[in-house]
Amino acid sequence: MAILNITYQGQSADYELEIDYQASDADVRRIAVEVVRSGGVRGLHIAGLRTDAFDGFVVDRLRGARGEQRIYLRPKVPFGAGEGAARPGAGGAGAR
Amino acid sequence: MASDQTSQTTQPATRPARRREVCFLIGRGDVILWSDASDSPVALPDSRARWEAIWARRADLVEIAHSHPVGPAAFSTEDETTMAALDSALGRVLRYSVAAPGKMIARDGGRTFDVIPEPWWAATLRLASGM
Repeated sequence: MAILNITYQGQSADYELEIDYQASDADVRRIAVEVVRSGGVRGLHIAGLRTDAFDGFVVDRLRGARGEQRIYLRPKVPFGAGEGAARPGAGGAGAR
Repeated sequence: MASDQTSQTTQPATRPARRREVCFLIGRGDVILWSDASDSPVALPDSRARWEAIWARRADLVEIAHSHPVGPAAFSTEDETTMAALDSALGRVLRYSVAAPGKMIARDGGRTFDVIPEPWWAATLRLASGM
């Protein structure tokens, strides 16, 4: 079992009820939507939260300071031009 | 003598900098709060360390800038979805920018525009990116 931490709308809070550490990422996102809708996360109650609210979020599974299992739901943070724009000299003003 | 001339014509005096994407977290007063870099000219992979840096500095954070050292001067689909996720997590709309060769763009308040003049740190971002 693990503690779920959710970061959303400037708040970062733990979900008090433990969930399965091995829950899939999709399940973690689905659970997060439900607990935020229900007010189960202190300081984070959004009754009308969209089902896809956490689609751009990733799941980190880590050990806490006392060895406890913790699941963190946080926003993804990759950036990048992407392989589709990888042509050297393409697009940029310097390529003219 | 001939070999010296050959050496001078086939080996550059300095090796070109390796191009890579770089990310800067910018605070008030155009201060660089934090930075990281990838090994790729076309990607900055997801990083928990980057997220932790953003969250820890959120009170001072004004802008997230990154480079596209081989272009384009545009926000990619990856950029767009990451910016949306970050804004929803932070509960406010940040300013974002991309420095490409010869051009810098920014997104602020839902509007995308060319950055003219560029902030002082744009040159540092390009240098770190091998541009």
